[in-house]
Amino acid sequence: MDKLQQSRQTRRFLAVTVFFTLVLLGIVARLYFLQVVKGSYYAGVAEDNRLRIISTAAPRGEIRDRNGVVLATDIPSFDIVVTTYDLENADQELGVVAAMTGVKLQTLKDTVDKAGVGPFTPITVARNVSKSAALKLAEREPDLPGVQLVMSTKRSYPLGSLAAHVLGYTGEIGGTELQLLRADGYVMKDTIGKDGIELQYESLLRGEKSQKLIEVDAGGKAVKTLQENPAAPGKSIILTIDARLQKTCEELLGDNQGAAIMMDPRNGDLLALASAPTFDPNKFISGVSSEDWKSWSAKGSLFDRAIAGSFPPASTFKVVTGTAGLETHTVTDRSIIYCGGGLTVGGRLFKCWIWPGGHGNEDIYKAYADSCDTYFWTVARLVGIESLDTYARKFGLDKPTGIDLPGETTGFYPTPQWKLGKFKEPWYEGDTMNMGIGQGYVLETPVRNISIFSSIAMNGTLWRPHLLKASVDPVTKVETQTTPVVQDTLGISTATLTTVKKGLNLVSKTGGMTRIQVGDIEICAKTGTAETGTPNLYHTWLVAFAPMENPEVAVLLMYENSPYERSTSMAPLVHTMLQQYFDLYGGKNGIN
Amino acid sequence: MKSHRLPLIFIISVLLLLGFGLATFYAASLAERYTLGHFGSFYSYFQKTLLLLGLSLTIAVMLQFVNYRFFRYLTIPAYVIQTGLLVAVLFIGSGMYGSRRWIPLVGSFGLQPSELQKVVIILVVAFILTLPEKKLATRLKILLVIAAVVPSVLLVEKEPDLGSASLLLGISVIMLVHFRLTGRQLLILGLVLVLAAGGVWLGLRPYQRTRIETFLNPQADPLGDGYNVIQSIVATGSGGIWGRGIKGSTQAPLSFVPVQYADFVFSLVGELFGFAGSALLVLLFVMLLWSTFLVFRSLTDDFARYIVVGIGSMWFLQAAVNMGMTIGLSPVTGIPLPFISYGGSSLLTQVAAASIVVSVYRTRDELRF
Repeated sequence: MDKLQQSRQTRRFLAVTVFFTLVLLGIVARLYFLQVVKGSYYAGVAEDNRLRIISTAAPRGEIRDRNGVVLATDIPSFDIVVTTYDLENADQELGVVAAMTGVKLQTLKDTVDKAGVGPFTPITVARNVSKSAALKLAEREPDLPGVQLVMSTKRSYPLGSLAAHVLGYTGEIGGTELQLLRADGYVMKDTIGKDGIELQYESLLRGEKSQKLIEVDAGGKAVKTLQENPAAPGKSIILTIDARLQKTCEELLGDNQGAAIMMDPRNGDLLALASAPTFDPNKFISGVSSEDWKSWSAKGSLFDRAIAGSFPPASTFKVVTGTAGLETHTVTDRSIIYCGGGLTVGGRLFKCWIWPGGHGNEDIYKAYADSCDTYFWTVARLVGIESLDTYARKFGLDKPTGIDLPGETTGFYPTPQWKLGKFKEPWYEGDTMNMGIGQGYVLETPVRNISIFSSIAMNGTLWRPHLLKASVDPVTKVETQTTPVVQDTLGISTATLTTVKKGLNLVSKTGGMTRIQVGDIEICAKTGTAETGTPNLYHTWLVAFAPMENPEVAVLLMYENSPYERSTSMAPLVHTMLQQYFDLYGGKNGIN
Repeated sequence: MKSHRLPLIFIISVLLLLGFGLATFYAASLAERYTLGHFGSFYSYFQKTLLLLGLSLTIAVMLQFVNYRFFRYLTIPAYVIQTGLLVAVLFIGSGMYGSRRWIPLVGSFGLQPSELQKVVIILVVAFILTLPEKKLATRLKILLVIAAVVPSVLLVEKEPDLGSASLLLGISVIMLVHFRLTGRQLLILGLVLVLAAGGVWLGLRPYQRTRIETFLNPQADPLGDGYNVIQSIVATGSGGIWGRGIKGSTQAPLSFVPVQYADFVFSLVGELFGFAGSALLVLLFVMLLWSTFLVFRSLTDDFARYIVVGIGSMWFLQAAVNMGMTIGLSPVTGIPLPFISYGGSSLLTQVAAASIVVSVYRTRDELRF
């Protein structure tokens, strides 16, 4: 660049530097205004009058059943908050709070120390204090500057333990959760869903906290509110559950271990989803006593057997074996297999359950009705383990159903490779036969089992089982309906499924099973009795759907370590479930 | 001419600024001890700054052994590496408040590539503008500058760090102003920038729009960003003429103002040292800029002149935007105050930039090679 060009450039940078200087002098002028002219005003603001942000939790959304019965709601309660700046004698004052509420002094101090907020932000130190403690504290409040009793809400489950595993419960946010969720605006002592629907739909149920910017005087009393953003309550949730059917299911389970499910196969709506033994989620809100905790742990009360328990499906699995036989054309509905009470394979006698009797000549319909082991052993042998695995996968045994609850597990189906890896043993023909009648290594969750029967009812379409029917905006009252989702289509011919259904229909008309009948409705059903390893102790299943032609409802009842030796004894119980369904909804052109 | 004279006023300005920063953190940690009864986080910032300063000055001295002309050869590799880091930070970066600005290194130390990128962009623009005349026409050079700067701006904006992104753009524009542009070309450049600003506004994230709106009207959102600005103004104003000192300062130790060790450090100065202290700090920056101009005036090499223009603009823009934000004159951004704000990448970058200016001055009359 030439000299001339350079001197022009120098003039430009000189002008730019002069401009820079003027801007910076402008900042000095502003500083003069703030610090010299208005200095004493701001010193006063800093010293005496404080701006504080007070935020209050928003009401959590309600959970209701499909007919509007309230299953979970917020009720008024009292919290204690501390503003550290206003405390005059922190130890003494927190000591009084500790004595009144029964919370340890050290716990209170820790909560205050670890809150990580400025000294003017109130910190919630105790939630849901008892009425008597609240009254006592209200009297002493004038002597305790910086300690305040504030109105708040707490979660309540008005129907107690009803649908406890579905609803889950709420609790105080934990340390790890807080770290993960701080960005979403959670702070210490916040309430958060811990399990069930409360956890699954936390983001819907949780509202937006209210925020208030207030100016307080030297004594910490609010002088005026400068700005207020009202709380936005959480969305309400409408479940697919019918509380009446749910109650019936839970009563049938009683004190036993087991699960009961009712589902609309046409869309996957779960009308009832029960697991026993159960618990009262209200106890989580007030604080679980150690006795309750011990008893729950001993009985496994918190464990949701309906979605997380895996059990041998026993004879209910024969729908898979039969389908495999028909689809591979290994048998037809006219094939006859003779049951002489057992089958000798590899030098070992496999005894049909009727042994030492025999079922005689069986076609597939009669084989379902009699639950003849010999028939399905033979089919399993002829089909072979590979085909059996293929059909187990088609029915989804290798997948979770996708139900909208946390903690669903996948059942299990064995393969020769798995057995070789696990036991260093080859796969025997006996293993295939065992699997064919749902014994041995194969395991299913109850929700998977009812899904299998639902998909048979719907000629191969499986609607994803779900609990969320709709969410309701608390302000506009606008309902957002859940759109049912097709989870799977089996790819199995209607002819085959029709044959299986006819077989299942015959089940409901045979022997003790006739006690399942509801009026003249055609019912399809299948029992299962699984060995547990303990003599005379069984897991028993009964799965059914009805009506056969236009199915409206699928039901499942399962006892772990059943009080019954024979699953057919459950027929009257499942009859109760079906009867109540048809009393409430039957013939009403379906439910929506 | 002798080639080893030092630009004394310039070096004194830089050292005074660094000393001012240390003094501020030390005073804040004493105030903290006075109010809380024990040393708190400000003391650890003081200690870490001392450590980082030692490291930065060592690097600054080492840079003196490199003739700045050699940077011509480093420019393109540095640009490629830095761009790589800017891409990497989007994937492996960590940061506060939902952004990804740091590449984690050892322990709590991390690298903030967008800081170093400022110096690299200055070198790149200087490099392009001083390519041999015969090879490139004026217009082509401008297009090349745009092609080099825009990807970095977009990458930094993606972190998201709108402040640093605008800074990169601002530095480049001021450097272009010193290129042989006619009045008409300057006008067109200005028009393009206005249009770009409109486009950026439409593409802003909601919180960024809020920040700019808050700046235009702080009372609009007194619970969010406005709250920070209001508290920052209260803290600054409360300092009065002489400051509230170690025993009187409450806003800092009680953590009223957010990130006072970094972005809002100027309010700390205001509260502790009052108008006397804050005005002195502003005047130190004025002194820095004029001594930078003096260095510029004595240079004959165009590459060196552009580098100095770029570095001077960087200091001015950062100082003006940062201090302006603290007293409600400019929007809230994460731009640190040069030499003062706590932060390793920032301190290292600023001291390295100062060292480059010294190096340029010392070797100004050597022959080109």
